[in-house]
Amino acid sequence: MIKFLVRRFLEIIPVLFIVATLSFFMVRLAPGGPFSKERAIPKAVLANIERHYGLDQPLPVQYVRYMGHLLRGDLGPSYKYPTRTVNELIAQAFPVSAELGLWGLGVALLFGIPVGLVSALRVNTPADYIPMSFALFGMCLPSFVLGPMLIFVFAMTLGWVDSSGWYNWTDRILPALTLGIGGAAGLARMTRSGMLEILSQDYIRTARAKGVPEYLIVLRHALRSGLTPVLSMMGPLLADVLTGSFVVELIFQIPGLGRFFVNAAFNRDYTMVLGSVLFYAVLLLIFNLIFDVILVAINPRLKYE
Amino acid sequence: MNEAASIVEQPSIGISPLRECWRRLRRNRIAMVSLWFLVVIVVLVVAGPWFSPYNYAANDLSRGAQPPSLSHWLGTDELGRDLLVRIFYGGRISFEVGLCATSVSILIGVIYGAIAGYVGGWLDSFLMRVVDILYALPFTVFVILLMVLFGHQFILLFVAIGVVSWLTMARIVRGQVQALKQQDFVLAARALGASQSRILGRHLIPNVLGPVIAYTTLTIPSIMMFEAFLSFIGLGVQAPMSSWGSLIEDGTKSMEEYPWLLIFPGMVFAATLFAFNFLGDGLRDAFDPRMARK
Repeated sequence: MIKFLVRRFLEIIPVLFIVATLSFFMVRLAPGGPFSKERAIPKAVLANIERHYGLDQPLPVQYVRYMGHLLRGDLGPSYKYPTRTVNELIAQAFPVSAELGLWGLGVALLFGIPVGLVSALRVNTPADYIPMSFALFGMCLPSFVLGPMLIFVFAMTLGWVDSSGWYNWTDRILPALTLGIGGAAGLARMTRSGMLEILSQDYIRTARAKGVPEYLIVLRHALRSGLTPVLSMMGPLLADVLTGSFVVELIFQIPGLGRFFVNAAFNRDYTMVLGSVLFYAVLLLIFNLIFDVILVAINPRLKYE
Repeated sequence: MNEAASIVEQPSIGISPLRECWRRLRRNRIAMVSLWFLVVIVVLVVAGPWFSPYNYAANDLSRGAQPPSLSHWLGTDELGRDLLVRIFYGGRISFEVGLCATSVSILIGVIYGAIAGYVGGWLDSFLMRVVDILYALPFTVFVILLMVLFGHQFILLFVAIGVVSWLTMARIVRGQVQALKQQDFVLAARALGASQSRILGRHLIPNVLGPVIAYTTLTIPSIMMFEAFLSFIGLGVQAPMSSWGSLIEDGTKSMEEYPWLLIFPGMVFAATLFAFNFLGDGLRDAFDPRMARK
């Protein structure tokens, strides 16, 4: 177990190195620079600015310097917001994205698992196929169609909530739904098929024969293995929620990291772009690791290899 | 020798797996409705503009933002362009991107997966480890980066999406090939002196076509969705061209005043995605009866 953790952890480092190198050169080799838009800048001033940020140095020198700073966890200054560092910007924007993500995940779990469970227990009844057909629709409805539609109905027509912003708790409802419904639909289907598979096993029949009450069978015997596929879906689901927040933040004008990243890419704010890419990569790698560990922990037949 | 050859040839005399699958698919009503729906949409999208008197790029401000009427069935946008024609053209782009990027991903995925599964050993574990690692990368972020940095080139859109979406395909093909290569017909082919590449190309890859086709049907909508996502955040096709994603984005901006600009493209896009997903589910069940829903 410890060995497994250490090895997986060590694997993250080369991956991050590759990501950093790849995105560094991708950003630098692209045409256009962070200061090329403001045409009014005289040549001498531009040269000064570039010297200030070390952009006048040869690319390999810049690369080594950047990697050196990176090792100390320093993502550099932002070119777009000269007074602030990328670390500060991420620290400011990420909590918003994280909160949005948690709400979205909450919606996915809260709707997905119970619905899937009920469908599995009432299989081939209206309580099964009505929610399941909704789930199929929910799964293929893109968030940029769902989000505007929700705004149209609940914000513009009914006027129950505001259509954009991130101030009070009502502002959380529509973004959370937009972000979470796709995941909820996927989870519902996954839970249903996982539970159906388990409920037809012999040991469930044995439990029934012993006269164990149905709710205990579900809670104690079936749920644990029935939810394994669900857990294995959690890593990808989290990744979806993370990147899904780009669109949701744009639709609802939420000041999260996704919006910062897209804007930074448009502005060619090199350091901010690189910083966010690395930050996302670290998050995803860690999530994947966590869920791999959990999966083995609840299913002893898998081994830490 | 002859005997052995006839044994090897025999399966092709019986009902071919593809035909068997088609028979099963035809019994699946939802999948067949989806299939016909997609055929109709493709025909409309390709042929529709030929029969329309309007041009997708021609502005006519005097007819700006009209609700649906007899002359403009789905209304017009703020610049007076006919929405129906724009949906047709947008559909062409969406399908083009979907099909081209999917082809790229199939090409890479099948070859990569087949080699990993067939050769096995350390090469297999190395190749699959690469896939695992790539899975963990934030690809959406990369594609956004690529599109922003290197301009909105259309080709790039295909390549970027295709290159990042072959991973699952590679896994599926590898698993299938791995299972198949231990079967007797491969042994027979080898005993007859077939070369490695012939076994792979003639015997193994045709046998994984089923899952590949089923997964392709599910890849196309997810790629169309990704293209729409890029267009929605302003990185896909540029005006006056339209894709379903950019139409939805335009619609979102003006949905308060002119809701039809959002509703129609949204509905067409969603319906197409549904159809692809239903068809893909149906195909998967048809190719592999054991996987059929309980």
